Amino acid sequence: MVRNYITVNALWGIQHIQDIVCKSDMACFPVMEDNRILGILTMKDLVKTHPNRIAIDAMSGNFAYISERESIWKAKEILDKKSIDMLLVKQNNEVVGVLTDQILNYELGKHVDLLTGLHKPDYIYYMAGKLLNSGNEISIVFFDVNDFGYINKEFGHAVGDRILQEFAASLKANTPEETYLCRFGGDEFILLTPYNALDCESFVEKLLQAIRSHKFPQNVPFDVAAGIAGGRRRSTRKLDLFETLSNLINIASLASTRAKKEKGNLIVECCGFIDEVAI
Amino acid sequence: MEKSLESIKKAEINMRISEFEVPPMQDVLFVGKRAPIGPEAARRMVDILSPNQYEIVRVNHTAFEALVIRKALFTMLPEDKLVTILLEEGGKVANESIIIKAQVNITLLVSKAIDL
Repeated sequence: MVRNYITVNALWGIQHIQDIVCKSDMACFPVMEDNRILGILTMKDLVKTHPNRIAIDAMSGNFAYISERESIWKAKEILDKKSIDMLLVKQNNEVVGVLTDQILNYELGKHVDLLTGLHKPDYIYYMAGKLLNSGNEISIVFFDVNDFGYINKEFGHAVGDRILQEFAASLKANTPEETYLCRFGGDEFILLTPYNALDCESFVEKLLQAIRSHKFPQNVPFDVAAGIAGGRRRSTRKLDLFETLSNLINIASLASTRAKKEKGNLIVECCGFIDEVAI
Repeated sequence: MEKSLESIKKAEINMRISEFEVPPMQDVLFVGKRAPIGPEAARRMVDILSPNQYEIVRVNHTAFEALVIRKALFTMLPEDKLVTILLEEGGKVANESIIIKAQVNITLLVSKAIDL
């Protein structure tokens, strides 16, 4: 968020504000009167409004408040859903900064894996908390490419990167809409689902078949193992989201390692219980 | 021939003196979407000179953004009816970038019959 944001007085003239805008990087400005925020003056307002008008007669932007502790994905959801131009970030009932779509997109870009275009794991933590809080089951599917080190050594790292890109695209194309995919690191990927572990088995099997039938560059021999972990909801006792999800990811990861060695590249693990998670 | 070197410079002053209207607007102000003065500025201007007498009515119109109407008119005619009539007539001379002032006189005609 931007902490040193510029506010404009409701009675300031547009021409005066245009002069201020020329010296700043901001595209939206909270319009204030008597220490109250009345609305948001957007760049569009400044372009289309007569320069003689005052700010209060030009502002058309919408705003909403968000707590400083909320995640950036929550902020993005609010901005997209409600056609909000600016989020005012509050801490102890005081506005401490502002967020716009431009600032958020820049920040969100840091949480996207550059090679595959998938999210990084922190997004999965956010979505898992959201699913659990809305009463859903969750399970984690952990995908691990077999012998990826061999592919890199035998065909080169550039080919290895292309393999990962195509694998990621294939996963994305074949996963249900209500699931969330991320690159966990290296040749490992995670899928968060709103189903229990046993319900995931059939669609993950189909997914693995679809990936195996895909022709990868230079006919590189490609296979992948998957481990599924999930559990039943048990109580409303509050637990740490990070710990709960880390445990699930770990169980799924170990299951995928066993799947490589033992049977058919897919193993389902039920870890017992998942308690309600507090965010 | 002898050349004339004389030149004359005169100033003519015309004055038109009239009483300042309070407030300087009449019953209704039509505010165009791109007018140099917005409805809130107009309302605040008259509010200082004649407090609480005018109200902004935001409208959905091709040329106008809002009407600033003298509240007293609403005691004689319901708001929606008055606004419809104003937009119908004002719309005929509408332009996005102008402000029009209008004088609105409402005369109620009452006729009653009573038993003798």
